[in-house]
Amino acid sequence: MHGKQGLLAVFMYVDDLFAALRKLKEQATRIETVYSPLRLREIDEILGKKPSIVRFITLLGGILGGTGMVALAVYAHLSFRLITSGKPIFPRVPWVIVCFEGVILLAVIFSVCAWVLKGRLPRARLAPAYELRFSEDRFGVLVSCTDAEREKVRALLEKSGAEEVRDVSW
Amino acid sequence: MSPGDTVAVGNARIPRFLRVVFVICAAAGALAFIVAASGNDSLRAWQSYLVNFLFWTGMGFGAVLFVAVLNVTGARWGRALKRLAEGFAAFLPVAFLLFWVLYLGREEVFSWVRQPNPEKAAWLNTPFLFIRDGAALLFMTLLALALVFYSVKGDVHWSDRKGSGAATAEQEAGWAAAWRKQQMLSPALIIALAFLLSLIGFDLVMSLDPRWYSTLFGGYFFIGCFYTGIVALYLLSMLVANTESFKPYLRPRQLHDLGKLAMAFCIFTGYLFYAQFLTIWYGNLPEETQYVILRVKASPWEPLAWAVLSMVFLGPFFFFLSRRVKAKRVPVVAISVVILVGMWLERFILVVPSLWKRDSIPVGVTEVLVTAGFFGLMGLSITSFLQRVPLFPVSDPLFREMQEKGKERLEP
Repeated sequence: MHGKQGLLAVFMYVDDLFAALRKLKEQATRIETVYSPLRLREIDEILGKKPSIVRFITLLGGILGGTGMVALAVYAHLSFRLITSGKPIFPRVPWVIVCFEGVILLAVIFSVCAWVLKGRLPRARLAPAYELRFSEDRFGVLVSCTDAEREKVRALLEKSGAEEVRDVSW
Repeated sequence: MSPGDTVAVGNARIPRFLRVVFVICAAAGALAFIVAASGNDSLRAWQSYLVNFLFWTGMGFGAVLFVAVLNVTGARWGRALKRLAEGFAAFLPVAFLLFWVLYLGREEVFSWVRQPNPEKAAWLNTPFLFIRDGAALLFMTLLALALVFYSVKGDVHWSDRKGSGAATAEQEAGWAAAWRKQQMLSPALIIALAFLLSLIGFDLVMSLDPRWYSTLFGGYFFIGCFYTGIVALYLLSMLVANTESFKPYLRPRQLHDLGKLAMAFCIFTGYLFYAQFLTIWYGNLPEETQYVILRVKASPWEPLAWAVLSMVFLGPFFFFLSRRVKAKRVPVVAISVVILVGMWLERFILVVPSLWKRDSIPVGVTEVLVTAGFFGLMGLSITSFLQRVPLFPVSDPLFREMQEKGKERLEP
């Protein structure tokens, strides 16, 4: 049972993709998703997408990791007072290293968790109309359209340089 | 890029008032230095001279190092910045001459000249220091100028024949030969600068306090020079990015990439400082710690040390985290000036506490004018160079490739 229908356009060139996206936005066509084998910030800018919340989750992980490691160091120094060669009980200079490691560790763990949760992974089914070549050397644009709009959108996509445009439903 | 492209092969049109400003700065600096050096407080003149010599010479070599690194890595992205970076090389012969002025102030600057240290006399003696550092500066300067010469040679030729149709096979062969020379000279220059700027750091900074030593100091000094050069180039690029000549070639993406490079060296400079600081802190040896304690714990230098850390590392680090801001003119000009002032103060705090034994920080009219003098000389060198050579490396195959790639359609 399919709920939506539309067109999938496959592009080889980045600038053709951008041109097509700009035209689709101008005509207020519903762009369901764009598949790209690499990160292109221009896609987010054209589609008007807000930056992902993942970066804030990463920042939160980094702050928690840094403060957590310093707290652990304080606890360890209070529990085992090893005074070495006239150093203070709370030696802040080497804490930079454990703080840095803690920042990296929890920032990475939080990022991975955020990717998994935000991406709703693992998925039993692939994203609609996804093809393996969208992770290799091609870009894909999935648009939803009615039967009345279909030929107009198809012509626009083909004129923009799509090397393939086909009907899909999902 | 076509041979008839007159914008690409044109020279810079420098406003006359700018050159007048540079001349006034240079003259005022020279006058202030002569008056101060011949007066009662000559130490202030000599120490500010040394600080400025280290800062501006390091900037010149750092910017040329950027060109060499671009050549070695085969980078296309920064080709439009190449001629601007090469402009700093015009200051290097001036710096070589300025180095010999230090000979006149050797007794003021180097404590081991007044009180020779028998244990280190084989290394720290006047003739040997000036011969080896003079030879090092001469060698680096000649290598840098040779690199710039071969870079400019093909472009001047291209510029001369603009509009005369397609290049002959002989001309193409000449440009290819000039490019091969650049490819040979670039790694040699990188290696030479890494070793010899480290030597300059050991000799002209570390020897000011002959009891102190740090094996990492040379590398730290060298990377500081590279960081200064990159930031100075970033500032210059931002200042000219909106001019008619540069606008088509200096795009936000290139300025963003230069910002990323500046951030990388901000982190690396901070890292090297901390690596050195941590080692000295752990070792806790009196002959090592006294140098650091004087600068970061003792009056009047402590606030200056925190200011340097904030201006060179902490502030730029958080600033450069933003992607968008790296290509915006006003914020980048502001942060570049902050970093350059911070690097000047960093050289100041490395040099002056070893020489100045009073309770105040010696920053006043003398220091400002001597700095203005070096600024004027650097400005005159860069503008004189850019007025005489094509603004873009049009015969550089990677620049042409960059231009052609820009016209092609991008693939993933």
